[in-house]
Amino acid sequence: MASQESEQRELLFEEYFFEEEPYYLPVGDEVEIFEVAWKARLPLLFKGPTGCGKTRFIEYMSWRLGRDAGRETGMPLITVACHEDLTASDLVGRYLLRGEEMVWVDGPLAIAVRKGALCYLDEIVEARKETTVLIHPLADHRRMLPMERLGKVLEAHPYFFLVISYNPGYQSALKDLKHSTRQRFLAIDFDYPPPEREAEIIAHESGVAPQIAAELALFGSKVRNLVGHGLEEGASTRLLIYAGQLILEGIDPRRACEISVISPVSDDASMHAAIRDISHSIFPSAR
Amino acid sequence: MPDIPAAPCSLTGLNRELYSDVQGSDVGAQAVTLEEVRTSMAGMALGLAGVPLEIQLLSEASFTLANPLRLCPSGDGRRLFLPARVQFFQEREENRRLYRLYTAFQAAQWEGGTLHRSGKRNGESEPLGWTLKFLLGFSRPMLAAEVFFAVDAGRLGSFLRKRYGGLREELDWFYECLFSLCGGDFTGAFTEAVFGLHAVMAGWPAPPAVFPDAGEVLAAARAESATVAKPGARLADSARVTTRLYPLFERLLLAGSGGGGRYDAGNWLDPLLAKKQGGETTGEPHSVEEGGDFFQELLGDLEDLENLEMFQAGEDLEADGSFITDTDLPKFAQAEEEAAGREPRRDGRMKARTDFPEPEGKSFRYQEWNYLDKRYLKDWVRLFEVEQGEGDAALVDGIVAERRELIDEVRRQFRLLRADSVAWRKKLEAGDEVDIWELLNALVDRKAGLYPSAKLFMERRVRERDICALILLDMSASTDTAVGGVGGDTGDPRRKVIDIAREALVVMAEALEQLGDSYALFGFSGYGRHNVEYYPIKFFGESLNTTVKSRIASVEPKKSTRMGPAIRHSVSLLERRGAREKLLVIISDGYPQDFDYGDDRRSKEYGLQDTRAALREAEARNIKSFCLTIDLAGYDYLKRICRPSGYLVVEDILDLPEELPKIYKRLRA
Repeated sequence: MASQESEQRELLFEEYFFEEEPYYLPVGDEVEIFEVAWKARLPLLFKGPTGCGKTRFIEYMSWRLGRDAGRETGMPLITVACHEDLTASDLVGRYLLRGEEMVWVDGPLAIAVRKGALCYLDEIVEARKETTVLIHPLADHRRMLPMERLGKVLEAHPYFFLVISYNPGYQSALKDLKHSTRQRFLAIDFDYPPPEREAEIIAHESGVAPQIAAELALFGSKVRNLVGHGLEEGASTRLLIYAGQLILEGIDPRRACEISVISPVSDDASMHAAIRDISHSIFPSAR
Repeated sequence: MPDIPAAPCSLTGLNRELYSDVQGSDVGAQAVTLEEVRTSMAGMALGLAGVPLEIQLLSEASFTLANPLRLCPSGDGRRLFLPARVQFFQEREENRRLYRLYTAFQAAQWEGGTLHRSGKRNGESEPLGWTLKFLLGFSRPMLAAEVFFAVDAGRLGSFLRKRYGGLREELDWFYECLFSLCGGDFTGAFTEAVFGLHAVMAGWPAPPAVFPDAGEVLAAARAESATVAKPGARLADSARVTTRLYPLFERLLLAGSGGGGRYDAGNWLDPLLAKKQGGETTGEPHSVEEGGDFFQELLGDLEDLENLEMFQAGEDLEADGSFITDTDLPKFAQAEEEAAGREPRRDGRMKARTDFPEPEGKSFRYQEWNYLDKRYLKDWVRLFEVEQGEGDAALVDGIVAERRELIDEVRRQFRLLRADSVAWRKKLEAGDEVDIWELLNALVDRKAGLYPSAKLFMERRVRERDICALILLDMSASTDTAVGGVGGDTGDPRRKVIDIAREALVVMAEALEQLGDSYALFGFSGYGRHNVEYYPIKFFGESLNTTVKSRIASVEPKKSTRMGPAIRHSVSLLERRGAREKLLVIISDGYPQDFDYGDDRRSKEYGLQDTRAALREAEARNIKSFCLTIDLAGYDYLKRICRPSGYLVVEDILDLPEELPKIYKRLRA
């Protein structure tokens, strides 16, 4: 633990990039679409359920685009988790007191625009509307960021690229993302990968044997059949990977599913029983 | 109708238990009842099959699908057959395991290829359609069914063992238990051969000592079992093996070897096969010797389709989202025949009443969700806005006087809602007032050498509560029930469900008038997809005047409960309103149902799925919906069609007038 702590780094936003290739298994043509959008500097909107790989994809693309841009590392990736108290100043920057001086400090969006980074605004619908409209001039042909406090306009670096995401499964999403915002973005729909691909991902990420990974993927696909029938969202790939990690550490697969999938996805006792029965159908009682 | 065959005597106890439709009084501590596991088994089946299956008692299953000679019952793709109670095994968990196994086996028929979505196989609209057509090609369809389902169970068992490690364990356990009870003593050579076939196909050696009189046919069955046990075996393999084994069993039957009379009782067919035969002309029985042309052609078609499906594996073979029209679905045409007053069908469906005149009024066409085909049926339903009659407005005034205390309380609570419409918005960088707590935090941060927050202000904002609400009342015939029969209430038997619902409407209307929200009251009922009736009681913008009161007074039980189109019409009315927030509150007393709400009037699943789809459509249009029911069974089905926070079961009907305003308050918050 101590050695891990000593390896912890504290990085500036613009210094956060990937040196190694993040693992990502393409499911469709998303890599190709992203690259075309990047070349045309057309901003992207990712839509998809939680834990299906949106964040991992942007990490992978930041690494890949960095290689394309002739860097030895990935492009800097600045991620902002949006929330309802997020203001324009939080994104653009603000004056702060430093000793007796008032000093301007760029927000993450301004840093990305100035330095040429990928800016990923995660769960954009959680932000207030007046905050969201701030990205409009950046998301169309103007590619600029008005900085009202400074009385300036910041032109985007050629490598600046904007990506936003949200989960349309949440009820608030459809009604909260303004059309004037939506219609500035190309949209890529994400979903859980098909079982074979998902098994490959689970095996890679958790380290479990292919057979167990396949069973976990099968379990995930069966649980997702319950969505809309008392289950709000299905088991995410992320949760299945967690289950795999538990199994790898010696936890019985049925128990691992209980902890990592059954309990997290629902609070309903009868739904728990149904999913538990599915897990008992797939996993033998003891390995 | 022939008797149900007796199973080997040692298994009689188990079979008597499984095929009984009553729970009896001798329930042991180890017993597990269907009611205990109903919800979880329905969920498990949905998860494994990918389609909702309606649970029915095993004792109600068609003989073709389930009988005591079977190791596991088969389903028909729409229903899941489970015993009313299992207490055969010593441990409770083991009895529950049997439920799990039966559920998994029937659900896996979808994945294993025995069942198919409509339209995918030879134009068959029933999931089991191809199989039934195949069986009716034999001279003794009941016998063919027994052979086929034994062979196909072997194929499915093999498939399940490979794909589901947990089920492999369950099957091993169950078969071991089952065969350990089997010590011979059959009622005849034929019964011995049939049970032996099931056992052989399940992978049991079936020793000659146990099956002394069925050696020849079981040797042939053993040789054939490898065909269906191989990886990738398909329905066509089961069918081909059936054509090869059938003559052996028929010879045994004709030899009068005992125990087989029920398979050769004249032209008797059980309702499942009889319905199929009635629906489609199959002509004369076909020869299976050397593969008669009929079977060759049928199997050839099936294999072509299976090959195509394999080729398309990975592509979505499910719904393409396109609309289909009336002419695309022959099964619905059958419902039409009923509506036209023709003879009732053989499957026990009631003959449709046709003496209801077509309603007068403006009509609207709505789509309907057919969950079986995963498609919308375009313009499927015709809804009429029917003028609500007028009753005695004094009735409403009487309710107001009687429920004055409650109305005053609800009004008081609603007044608080108005006060709630003013709120402080905090963490602002500029605003009306300094937020003292934020300022304090900022000073502490600054003292600590941290960057203080600049979000020190707050402002008072009046929440714009631009709301409109539509309350939709189920006016089905079942609301004619005396309240003493609902929700355990033992109150005044002269008061009916509709009377309490009327009271709830009056309380709500009185309180909403004061609150100032725009609201409307509508009722719905109807009979059949061409006659959904929608009764305006109070339009948006109307005040609670004498006319409206007289309409409330005239609310009365009507006919059926086709909920989907009523919701869709309510949504279209709400969509026309300019309000920012739109609420739809549905008050019902039971399942959505109508005589042609789906092709099987006994099934509730179609109506539930359509209602669910209609609620999702409302949600997509930014309309918040809420279902309020007095049906205690609502605990089971509402969770499947509504969001977790989108429904409430009112256990005591008399609480309805109090609960409705509470719900409204919650929705509005």
